[in-house]
Parts: sequence; C-alpha cells; structure tokens
Amino acid sequence: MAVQSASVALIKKELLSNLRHARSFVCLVLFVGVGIIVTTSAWPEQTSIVRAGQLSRELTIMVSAVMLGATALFVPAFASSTIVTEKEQQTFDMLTLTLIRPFGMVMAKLLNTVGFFLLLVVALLPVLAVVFFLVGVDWAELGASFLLILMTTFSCAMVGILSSVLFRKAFVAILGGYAGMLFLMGGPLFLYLLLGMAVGFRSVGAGLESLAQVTSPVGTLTVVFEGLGAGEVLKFVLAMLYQVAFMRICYRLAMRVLKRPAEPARVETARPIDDPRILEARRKTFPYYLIDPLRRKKQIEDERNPMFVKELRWGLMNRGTILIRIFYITFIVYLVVGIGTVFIDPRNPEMLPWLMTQIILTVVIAPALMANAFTKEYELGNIDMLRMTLLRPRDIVLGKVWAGAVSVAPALLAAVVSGIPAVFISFRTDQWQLMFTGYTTLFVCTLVSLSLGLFSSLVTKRTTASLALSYILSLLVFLGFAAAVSYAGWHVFERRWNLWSDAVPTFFSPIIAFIENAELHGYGQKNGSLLNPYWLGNVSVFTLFALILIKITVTGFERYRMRDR
Amino acid sequence: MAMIKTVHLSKRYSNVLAVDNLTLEIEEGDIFGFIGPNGAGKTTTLRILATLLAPTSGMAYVNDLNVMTHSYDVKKIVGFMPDLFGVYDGMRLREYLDFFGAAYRIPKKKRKGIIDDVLTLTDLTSKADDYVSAFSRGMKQRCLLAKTLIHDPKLLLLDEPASGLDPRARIEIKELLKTLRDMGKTIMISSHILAELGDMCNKIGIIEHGKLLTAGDYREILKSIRQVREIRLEVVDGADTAADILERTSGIINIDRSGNEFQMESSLGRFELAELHSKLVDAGVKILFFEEDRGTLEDVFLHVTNGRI
Repeated sequence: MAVQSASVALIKKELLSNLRHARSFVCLVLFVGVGIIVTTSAWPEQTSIVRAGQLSRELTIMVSAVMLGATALFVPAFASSTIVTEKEQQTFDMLTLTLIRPFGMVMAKLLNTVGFFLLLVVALLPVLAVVFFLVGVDWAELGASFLLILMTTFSCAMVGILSSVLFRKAFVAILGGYAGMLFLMGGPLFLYLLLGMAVGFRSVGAGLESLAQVTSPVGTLTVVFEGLGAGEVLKFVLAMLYQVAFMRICYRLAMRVLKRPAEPARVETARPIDDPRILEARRKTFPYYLIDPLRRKKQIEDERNPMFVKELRWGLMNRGTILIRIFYITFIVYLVVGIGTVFIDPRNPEMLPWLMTQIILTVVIAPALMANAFTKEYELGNIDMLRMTLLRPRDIVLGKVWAGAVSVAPALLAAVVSGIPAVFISFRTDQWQLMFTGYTTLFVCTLVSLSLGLFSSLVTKRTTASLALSYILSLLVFLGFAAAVSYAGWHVFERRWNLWSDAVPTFFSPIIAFIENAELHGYGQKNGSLLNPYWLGNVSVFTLFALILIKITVTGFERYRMRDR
Repeated sequence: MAMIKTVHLSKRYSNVLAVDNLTLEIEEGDIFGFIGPNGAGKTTTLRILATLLAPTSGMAYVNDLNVMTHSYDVKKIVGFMPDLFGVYDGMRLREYLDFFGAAYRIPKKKRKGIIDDVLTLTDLTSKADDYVSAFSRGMKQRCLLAKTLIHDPKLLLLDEPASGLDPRARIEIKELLKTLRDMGKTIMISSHILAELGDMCNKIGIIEHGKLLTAGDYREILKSIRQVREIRLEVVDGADTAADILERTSGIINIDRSGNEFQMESSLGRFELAELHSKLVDAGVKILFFEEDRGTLEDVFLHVTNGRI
C-alpha cells in the first residue's frame, strides 16, 4: 500500500511540476487555437450534403494526421528527457532510495508524458465534435483513429522512456527517443526496402502496402479511413497488437536496466585517444587522417577562432570514432540504396529516391548536431566563463557553426563518395543535372538545418527544449510552409480567382521544390534544363534564409545572451 | 584611484529587489570582503561588475570604465571566478588553459610560458596533463582560479571561492589568495564563511537584502562596534592578588573570574593598560596571557545584520 501511494505521489509530483508551467497552458491554447482555425477556415459556406460529408471526412483525417504527427514529434522529446533529467540533476539516486519500485517509476513517467498529450486530445474533442455535425465520418472510424493515436502516444512515450533509462545524457537520450520513434513509424518498412533492394527483388513493392499498414501508425491511419471492412479490421487489430508488442519490449528492457544495480559514473582518466602509438597509427589510416588526431596536442594558432578549434578538437575528435562510424554507415546505406535502384531497373534507374534518402537522413541528423550548441554551455555551467573571455559573439556563434558543418561532413562526404561509383555503374550522363541539383539541395538543406538547430539553441536554455524546437522548425521549413501555402492557395486562389499553380507552394520547401523541379522536367531527360530559374531561385532563397538566420543568431546572442537581463 | 565604483546600483528580478541602491568604492590594491547571508545580493553585484548581468538602474565602473558600455575593455582587466561552474569534458588542464588563453587573445608564443606560470602559482603543474573533468572539487576550484588568472587581470572578482571545499583545500585557496594580494591584485571576494575572510581583507562590506549595511576599513568597523575593550587575563600564580588589583582599577568593569582566568571590559587607553600589566607583574602575579580580544568578523556581522529572511 505504501509502495502504491509512493508511486501515486510521484505521478502527482510529475503532473504538478509539468502543468503548473505557463508553457503547458500556452501549448494547450495554441493546439486548440490551431484546431479551431483549421476547422472554421475549411467550413463549407454553401454546399451540398455530399460535399459537406466529404469535407467532414477530409477534416477528420487531417486532424487525426496532425495529432499523430504531433505525437511523433513531441512525445519522444518529453518522454526521453524524464528519467535522464533526474540523472543529470542528481535526483535519480534520491528517487531510487524511496519506496517507489521501478514499475511505479516507469508508470509515473509514462502517465505523466501521455497524460499531457491526452489532455491536448481531449481539449480538441469539442472541435472535432463540431466537424461531426457535417456527417460523413463513422463512429467506428473515429473511435479507431483515436485508439490508434492513443496507442502511438503510449508507444512513443515507452520508447522515449527506454532511451531515458539507457543513457546518462539528455541529449543522447532524446536522440535515442527520436530514433526509436522513427523505427516505430517506418523501421520495419525501411529494413524491408533496404533488404529488398540489396538482394535485388524485382517486385520489391509486393507486400509493401500491407507491411506499412500493420507496422507503421501512418499506414494504419490510412487503413482506418479506407472504410472498415473485414480486411481492414484485421489489419487494424494486427497493427494494435504490433504496437502492444513494441511497447512490451521497450517496457521489459527499461525494467531490466532499472532493476540492475546502479553503476558509479565512469570517470575517464585515460582514453584510447591518449595513446600516442594509436594516434600515430590512426594518423596514417584512411579516413582517420582527415581529422588528424595529433592536432589536439598542438596549441591553438593565433589566427584561428579558438571556439572553432575547441569544438573541432575536443568536441568532435573525442567523438572521432563515432564520426567515422557515421561515415561508414551512411556510406553503406547510400551505396545500398543507390545500387538497389540500379538493380530494380538497370536501364532507367531511379535516382530520386536515392537522393531523397540522402537529403532526408541529413535533414534528420543536422539539427541535432547544433541544437545543443549554446544550451550545452548553460547546462555544463561554462557560459559565464565563455562570456567573460574576449571572444566576440560572432566568434562564438561562427565557431559553433563551422564545427557543426564539419560534424555533418562525414554524412555529406559519404553521399558524394557513394554517388561516384553509382554514376559509373549505370546512371546516364543526362542524369548529371539531377545529381547536381540533388547534391546542391542536400548542401542547402544541411545549411538550413544547421542554422535552425543553432537558432533553437539560442532561444532556449535546455537541450531537450532546443532539440524539440529544432525539429519543429525543421518540419515547418521543409514541409509546413509549403503545406500552409498550398492549403491557403487552395482556399483563396483556386476557389476564387483560379490563379493557383502547384509550383507556388512547392517553392516554399527546398526538398519539395527539388522534387517538383525534377518531376516537371522529366528528371533531366526532357522539358528543358533542371538548372532553371525556379530551382536556382529556390536554393538561393533558402541559402539566404539560412544565412539570415545565422546573422539573427549572432545578433541575438550579442544582445540577449552575452549579458543576462 | 577607485578600481570599483558603483553609484546607486539596483537590480530587480520581477518582484525581488536583489541589489538595492548600492553605492560603493574599492581602491586599487584593496582586498575587499563582500559579506552577507545567502540571497543577500553578493553574486548579483559581482555579476554586474563582471559584465554578465545588466543592472536595472544605477551605474557600475571598473577602473573608470562603465561596465555596460565598455564591457570588452572591462573584460580585459577583470578575472571572474563564479560560484557555480563547470569544466569542459575531455580536455586536459593544459589544453583547457590554452583554450582560455587563446580566447583572451594571448599570442601563442607567450601562452605556453603564461600557462606554466599560472600552473606553478596554483600548484597544478603536476596535473597539467590530467583531464579537468576528473578533478576533485578542490582541484576544479584551483583550475578555475588558474583560468581566471590566465590574462593577468588587475581585478579579481571571486564568488564564494572556498565553498564546498574541505578544510585543507580551503586553507590552500586562502594561501593562494594571500599570494595574489602580495602581487598587488585588487580582489573583491564574496563569502558567507567569515573565518576565511577575517585575516585576509583590509576592507569589508556587509550586504543584507540587497542593501549595503556598512562598508569600509575592517579595523575601523571593528573599532566602531566595540565601545569598550575586552581583555583576557590568565595567570599561573597570584590570582587573588590579580583580582584585588583589577577590582581597584577604575576603568575595569564586568570582571568575570573563572579560576585563574579573567574576562573583563575596559575603557582604559593603551598606556593605561600597559601600566596595569606592570602593576600586576610588580605585585608578583605570574601572567600567562594578558591580551585584548579584538573581535572577529562574526562579531561585526552579527552586530550589523538583523538576520531576517
């Protein structure tokens, strides 16, 4: 009984400490506000009952998709920061000394994370209920979509908590949480595709749809609104069972780690990188010499930016082996996807999915590399010492940016290197244009992602918040603006003046603009050059956007971070 | 010349007035003990002087430079050691100091020699190639002090430099500060551990609830709170004779005898006290101690502050 009430006390404490913040209220108001705006703007003025039903359906699907997206985006960050924050603030030991059992601890953190999101969902119910007036959505569909969102919220929270239990640093735990979420959203599907491409399946598409509908919540959502026939019900039940199994595995792993006696924090006094023989040997081996491990022994040169040198030598080089691994892993992934596309149709290989894989992977990695640029300094307690030096804000910010660019370099290098053999194996010369525009887009997207991560790190003081914000901003820049412009255009131009073109909304995202440009011009094989004003304008605008954001960060750092107010 | 000058300096955090109309002057070469209970406004004042915090109103100058408008020049001459600090993971001490040396724009050629000097000064030479993240709290304090000294600042702002240290580490830090004092640095040191400041500072300031209650020469302040001298006498032989003489001496009051020990208050001057000592000796009293209890910083602190939270 005492143990139970101790767990309840923890739940109460967690909910209280989360809900008493103004940000919870602001979040709630924003969420409901967006729901109301979307619903009222889409509300039919004068239309038939059939159109109303269709609209109601579209709105319900959209709201469900938005809720699923919000779950995927926010829940991992919240969940993966729960236990690891206790570890960082050194309150975890105190928690383990209480009568709360590991089960109670996991449940308290889980309910706290899920509870807030359920509050958001419940707050949105009246909005959704209004849509229901338009008819067109079945109770069963609505119930199933809510069940799916609920299960996905629990799954994302559980994988986040597992990550929080596994790691000692919040930053790593959040990355782990997002990696887990990505696996939940499409891990089996990606593995299937990769495997299929690697072994040269000609019919790689067979079974793909069913696998997506069962193992990916996004796929399951399409099942729900396809009309719940016997086949769809079976797929839905299987999808739910899959999520239960996923949660169960995460829960078991988390419990196993929590029940293990705590190990004292490791204090490293010597590392492999300290051994001069290893360093000397590494210096001569590819690709270690790229980062020259021995340079860290040298004094910082006068003409160099000390911040950049510090970040490069002690930030990145200590993670040198990880960088090398990133290089190899991304290289292998790109190569497999590239060669796979050749195998599918050697005469007409699809370069677009291959380039898209590279762009999306980089866009996922890059914000995380910069999101702790300043928050790390706050969290480690180094910010005052840094501000007291004679480094100007520009030196500090640009030092961080350059180091971030270097840290994403292995992935970019892997992209370029993996492209070279693919071109000589099968790609035709007329696809060089596609490749050029693809790589340029990749570099622009990297710059934009880094600037977004940097900006997020400026406006927040905690890595968890910064990381979540950087991904939200990335989503907005790479998809959200284009979707919003498309949505607005559909409502304003097409219905009233019929002046709308698909090229307008796609211009608001570098990724979608690249795809649109490639599709419009037959992937470089027809309908003119891919190097046209539309594409050039797009990459110029987004390069400028990234540079302006970096400039804003420099100014913001100078005005608001060099001196507390 | 005033190294530090604040004029009606105030800092408000929403509804809390952390520093209230603080006007203060610290001369070059002074060791100024900034004393006050937790939350009195010591750290806020030091952070404003270190250019890390903007005041709500008032002015602050370091070496005649306005900390708000000339922060870059102020940083050149100020070394600030914060109360809470971290260290960079994966850096050795020499690398750590090299980074801060470079960040203070010390040329590479000079930097190595300067690093060796500060390592010697802080007695960290043997730890130069160790990782700073693996240091104990005391070692980290020393390491931070070494970092603070790297650009040879004229003014040191030290916020609770000995907090959280064991007695030995505290004594070592104290010795180090005495060395810095002898090197002619101006030091403003905040602490609520009064014993560590008493024999180091020539000037003190006491702050409570953001208000400066008193500031000035330590001895003068001590004198001002003690209207009478407290004298302690311990004899080996002739205690009754001593008691008789003391009772008959005008200007000696409130005699408290405990065996061979006497505690009393005196309004006598220095020469009169010397005469009293001679009288006791002439009367055959064998004196072990005859000394004035000059008082401590604790006495000043308790006298000046009211202890409200």
